Amino acid sequence: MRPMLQQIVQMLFAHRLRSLLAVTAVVWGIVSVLVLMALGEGFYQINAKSFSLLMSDTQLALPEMTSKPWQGLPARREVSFTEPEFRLLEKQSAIKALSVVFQKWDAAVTDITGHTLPGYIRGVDNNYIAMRKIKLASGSRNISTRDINRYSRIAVIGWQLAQQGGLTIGDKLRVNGVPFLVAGITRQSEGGMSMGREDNQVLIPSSTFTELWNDKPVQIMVTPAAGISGVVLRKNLLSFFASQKHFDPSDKRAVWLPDFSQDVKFFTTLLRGIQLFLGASGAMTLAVGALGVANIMFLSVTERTREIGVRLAIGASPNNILVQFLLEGGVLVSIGTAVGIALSYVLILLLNQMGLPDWLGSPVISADAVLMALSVTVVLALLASFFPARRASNLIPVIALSARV
Amino acid sequence: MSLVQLKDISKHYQSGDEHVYALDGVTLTIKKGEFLSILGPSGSGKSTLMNVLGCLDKPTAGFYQLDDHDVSSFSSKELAAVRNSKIGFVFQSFNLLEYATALENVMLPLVYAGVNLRKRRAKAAELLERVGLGDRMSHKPNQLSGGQKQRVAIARALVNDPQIILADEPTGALDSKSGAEIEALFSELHHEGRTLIVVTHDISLARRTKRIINIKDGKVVDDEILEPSSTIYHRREGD
Repeated sequence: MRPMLQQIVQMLFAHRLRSLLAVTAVVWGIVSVLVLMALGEGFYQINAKSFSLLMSDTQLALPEMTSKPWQGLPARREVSFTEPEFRLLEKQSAIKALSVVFQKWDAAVTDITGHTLPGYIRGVDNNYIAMRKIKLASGSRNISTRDINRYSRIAVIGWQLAQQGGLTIGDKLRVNGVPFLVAGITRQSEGGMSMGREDNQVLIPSSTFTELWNDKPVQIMVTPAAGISGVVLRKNLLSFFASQKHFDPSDKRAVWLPDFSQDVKFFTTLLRGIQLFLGASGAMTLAVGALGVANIMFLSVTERTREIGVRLAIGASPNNILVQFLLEGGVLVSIGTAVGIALSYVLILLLNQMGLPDWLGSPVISADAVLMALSVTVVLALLASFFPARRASNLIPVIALSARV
Repeated sequence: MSLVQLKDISKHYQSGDEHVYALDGVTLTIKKGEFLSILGPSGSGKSTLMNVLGCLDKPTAGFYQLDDHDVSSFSSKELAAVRNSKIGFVFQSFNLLEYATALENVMLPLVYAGVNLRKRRAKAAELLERVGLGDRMSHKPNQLSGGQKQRVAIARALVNDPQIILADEPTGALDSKSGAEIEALFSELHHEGRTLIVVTHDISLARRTKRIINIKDGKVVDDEILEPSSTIYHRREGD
């Protein structure tokens, strides 16, 4: 095998232009596949982040109104819970974590000089930021249990609100005239969309909220214990709420338990579909590259018919010739693949440094993409080399020797 | 002791509407150590005979025994092994690999014989020294003269210590001086006891051999034994 590889390298150098063209065809194909798939992956990841809450197993529960009469009680009864009523859920084994959320849309949010800011208030516990997967800018701190116990007047505010009010950490703002210290600012959302105007929210400790307003919580967020499916969790929650507030456990309108699994499925399929389309486009280019290699290999066999004749005359078996041409194709494709992968990484690095639009995300070459490109290349390389190699090995020595090329 | 035995060897093929009898019932015996030439005009079938003798082509009919083996029934793979170990070819147009050096060209048959690099290099270098090209080993064919190329080809033909050396018009592409050198080299090889078969239409080259087989229309028409004293014995067909 080694002397054959040496001969192949020698031959490839001897026919530099032909080898270069074949390698270029493969490089072009590999770069197309990897760069397109990297763009697709970046797009997928950025959008998956936008839907992070939808795509996580965190369940929302929003009390609303009964729609069915139950045990002598009429329909259309408003359902509401106090925080301690919600907290009873924490004792259930199916529930890993709970966050109770208060909300005030019409609170007056102003900066310290009295200028109105377009913010709204959420009273939250120490679990909220983590469960909601909110990222905080550096220097920020989370709302802690200590803040809740002490009724602290601190706020974690949305980045947009901070920008509009020119607020930084350590500044103050007023909520209904009461001063709050800005302890944290959310990080600018990376996705194409943000959920529910969160970039303008003012998060304050839930205890401080209830001190200011005598409201009931508007929603809770629940993380199920390991092994508990969304369906089971929703069923558990509904029966808990139904027994607490005396409504029909089949009344799904009493407490809204949104099920995002179908939407998640749809979005994931859509995003993966876009990625697949990009990958397929690249694979087509790679196939054209492989055709180029096959073409060059056929040309090589035709040009070197006499050489094949000489090799057969001095004792090469048809198998030796077959292996030689398969290896030649293999070496060309391997070089092309290695250069293509390296070049793709460089291109992706440059693209990321250039700064692409936010909605496109940061292209990233995944191991799966490299593996897919490699598998496609191996198959195409074998096909591209096999047929020319078979033609070479089937040559009859005397006919090959009489070739005029 | 006979090295080659051909019995009623025929090679027929269709060329357009015409049925061509390139070889038509050739029967021939060649002993070990013979130096003979196959002589005939263009289209006489001498090259076809050489191709059959060299296992480059299979006969349509007949029996071919080489070194006690019935090679007429061999597969492509077996024939490749025979060509590698028992036959050395010298072609009119040298047929060297242009991108390989003289040494690499001579080493090539040993690659297919599975010989290791150290031995390949040593044997090829020894043979290039033997043909007077010890100082041209790393030269590529385009850096060599016609005569030098042919000497590289002869070294390549000898590298596996073959039973027969088959030369097809070996001086055909050379000037007279280089041609004479090659003829002298062949005579030396003959004196070393090697079996040489030269296919040619050049009567003067044929005269340097010890036996001349005349071929015409695919048939052996004359088989002359040339003794050292230049006395010629004729062995007509059927003798």
